[in-house]
Amino acid sequence: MSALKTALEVLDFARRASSAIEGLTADAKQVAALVQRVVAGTVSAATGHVELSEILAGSKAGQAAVKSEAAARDKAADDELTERFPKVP
Amino acid sequence: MKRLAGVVLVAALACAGLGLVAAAAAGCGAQADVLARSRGALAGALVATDQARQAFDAWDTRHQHEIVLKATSLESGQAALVAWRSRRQPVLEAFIAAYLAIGGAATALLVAEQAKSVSADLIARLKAVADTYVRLTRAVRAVGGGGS
Repeated sequence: MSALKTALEVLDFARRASSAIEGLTADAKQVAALVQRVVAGTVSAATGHVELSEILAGSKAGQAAVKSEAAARDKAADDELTERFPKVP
Repeated sequence: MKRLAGVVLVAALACAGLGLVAAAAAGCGAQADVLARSRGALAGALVATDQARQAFDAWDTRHQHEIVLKATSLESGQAALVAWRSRRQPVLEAFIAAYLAIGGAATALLVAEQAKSVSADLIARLKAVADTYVRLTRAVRAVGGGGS
């Protein structure tokens, strides 16, 4: 019963994700591309064997990357803005 | 193309979900199959999350670049960047939650594999992974202009 509930949750997620794709505006094509890459990743991963240690390490690396890479992007944008509008001494 | 992606996504996840149901319905002898499918589902979730994050990162980079180009002064540009980063924050938090959920499920699966038995904890952890994808989908959609 629990497995069935889990499966239904997965299917519900799939339905919601599909609805999200259909509802995207023309300005959000990048998001559509994002979802397509998610699909590609899901399908490709299903074909190979992965060790649990790799999954654990990957989840930790991913958490760290979310923060560090966002900080790097923010700094790059801040630097670009400062170059565009240099402070007058 | 969007519709195609949606159909493929539904098909891929439906197969994974129905596979779990079929394995569970087959009885205790199918425990190993459920564990193997759980491992595959987690591996897929990690790859999918990584790829989604990389795609979002690239999008965020372009978006911040556009904000800088549209700025009319240092102050207005800084304000616009701060505003965007505030809007973006739920997406970053959703990605972190997804990675945490995957790690938690992997730990539960490790225990379940050693016990050679599907536990309630494992099922709950897998459900948590699915829940984070709902959250992630909503968060990305919200900043992508597709509405809430």
